[in-house]
Amino acid sequence: MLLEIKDLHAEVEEKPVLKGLNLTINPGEVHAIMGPNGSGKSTLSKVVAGHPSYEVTKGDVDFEINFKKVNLLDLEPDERAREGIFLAFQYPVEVPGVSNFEFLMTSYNALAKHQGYPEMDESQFGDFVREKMKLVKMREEFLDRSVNGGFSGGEKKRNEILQMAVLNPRLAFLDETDSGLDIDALKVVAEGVNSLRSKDNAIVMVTHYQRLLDYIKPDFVHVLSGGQIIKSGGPDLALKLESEGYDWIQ
Amino acid sequence: MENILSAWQSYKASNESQFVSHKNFDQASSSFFTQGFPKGEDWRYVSFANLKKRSLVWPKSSGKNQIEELNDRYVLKLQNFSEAFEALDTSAIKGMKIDVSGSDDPCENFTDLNSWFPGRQLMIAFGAEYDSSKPLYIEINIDNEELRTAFCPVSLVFKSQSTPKVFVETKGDGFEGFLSLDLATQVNEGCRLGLYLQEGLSAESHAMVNIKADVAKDATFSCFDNTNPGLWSRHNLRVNLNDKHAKASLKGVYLNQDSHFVDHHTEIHHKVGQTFSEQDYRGVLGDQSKAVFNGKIQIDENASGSNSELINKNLMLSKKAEIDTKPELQIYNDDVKAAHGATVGQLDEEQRFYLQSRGYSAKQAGQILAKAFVFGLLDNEDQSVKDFFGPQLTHSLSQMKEL
Repeated sequence: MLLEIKDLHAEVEEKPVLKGLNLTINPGEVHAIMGPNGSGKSTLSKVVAGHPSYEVTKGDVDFEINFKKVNLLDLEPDERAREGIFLAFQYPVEVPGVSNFEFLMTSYNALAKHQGYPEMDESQFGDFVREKMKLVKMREEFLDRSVNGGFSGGEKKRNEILQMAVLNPRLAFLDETDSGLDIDALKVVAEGVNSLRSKDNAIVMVTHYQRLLDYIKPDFVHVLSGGQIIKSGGPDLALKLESEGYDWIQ
Repeated sequence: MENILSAWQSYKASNESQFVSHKNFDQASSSFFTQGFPKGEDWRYVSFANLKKRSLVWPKSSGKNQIEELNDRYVLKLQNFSEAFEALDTSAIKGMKIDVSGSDDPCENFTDLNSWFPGRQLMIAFGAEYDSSKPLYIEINIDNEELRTAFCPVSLVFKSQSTPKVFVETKGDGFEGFLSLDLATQVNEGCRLGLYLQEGLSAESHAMVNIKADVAKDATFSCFDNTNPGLWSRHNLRVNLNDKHAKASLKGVYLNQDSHFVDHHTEIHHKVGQTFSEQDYRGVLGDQSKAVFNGKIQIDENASGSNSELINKNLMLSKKAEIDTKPELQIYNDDVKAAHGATVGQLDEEQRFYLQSRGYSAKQAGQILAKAFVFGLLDNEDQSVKDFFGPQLTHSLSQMKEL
């Protein structure tokens, strides 16, 4: 077990969104979470990452750290990140004045220091990150620009996957990473994600559309509705949802 | 006022022979002692109470002024307000001339008093043959213990026929007195003057800085003002755009903590058409500190085609910190552009969370966001400007309790 969510209830601005969600994820698995608007998909991602606007009112989120179960809810967002939780944002935030290079290197070294592998100096990290940029076909000039500053929607999503590649998380939530991408950009992002799949990590894709799953094949597909997972299945479930919508489940 | 009167009398008695301009000096002092400290709307936030209580003395000259040439710059050191300007020898510096003068246009009475208190001003002229690749660094150092309660005016006049950069820094960790600094600049046709000012006095000091610029045709005046206020610091910046294509670019930053107070009053006067100005002032305020920003833009009736932009952004770190910000536009022509804006806000929690989700601690995230907010002002500046301001800005940010 890598992540085990049990009876999770969460609310935002005192409005309940998650209402008893259960989900188990093992290393090496890719999960897709689908569901209608307002079902709680993005909330789930943010609660796991520790967004302060979301209050967990009940339940546990256990994460395996050094062969022990740790309740993620007891950790600050940065502590979760350093333990290998990653959230690719639906709307990546711009941080003017902070260069992408500085941002990525500081993040990388924060995780390296915590996880006990060598930190890198500028020169080493420069070589490292340039290799990673090839995965998502990003030009080097993006390193000198401020974080997401003036990036197009597609560039921001690529930058999220670049961060994922640099930080090599154990569990990544991709929150509607396919939204706003044209088909070529979607292929690039999907290829990047696929190259990062391994037996040691897990990926959770939150998406509205089946088309992402054409490029990143999930092991499991879950339907989230009314704050709970109401149906789980294999990749065929996504195809059925694509053709028939959500009414037949609800 | 008694303390200032006393300092003034003793100074005049002992230095009368050095006065270049008795007339201005006498007028200013007479006006000040009749009317007292400045009053009215422009001064409503500045409290002179603490200054009045201080035992201020005019310092005896101590230390030695000197100018030296280094590989990449000239350095003018004004030590403890020594009067020995005549000893400064610039004969080896092509295109630079240092002299004393005693004339200026009248201003507000307290400002005039400070300008003419020494009886003269130090005038630095940059001729066309001045090597602009070598900036001038002016260090105003106060390290004399006797100057802890001094009343210390300094007047510098720059005349530019060239494109120099001038960096001015006040230094005095132990200085708890009152510093008045006057910087008057005359930017002649086609010239560009960059003036960069950084305060580095103690937290117990008072400072009043007056910067005035007259900008001629096709000339550019750029100014960057980093305020590190003590008990209070008042900065008046007046720019006259006197002819076509004159341009002013004013930037300022204030990082206030404890109960420190800074008051920026800028005034840009577009006297003719096709003149341009931009202002970008940013502040970070913590604890119980307070700041005032008043940006006045006047565009005259005959100034068609002028363009003016003003923005003041403030980052509040504490519920008790306070900012009073006000644009003041006087526009007498319809064919102009004048944009202005002000923001007052806190650290963006979405940005903070984004950084935390990448492994930054909440504290680190706050520090990097505040740094980005401040250093954004330096983005388009030369490396020499970044090197001048960067270390002190970084240090000041590191001292803010809330970050």
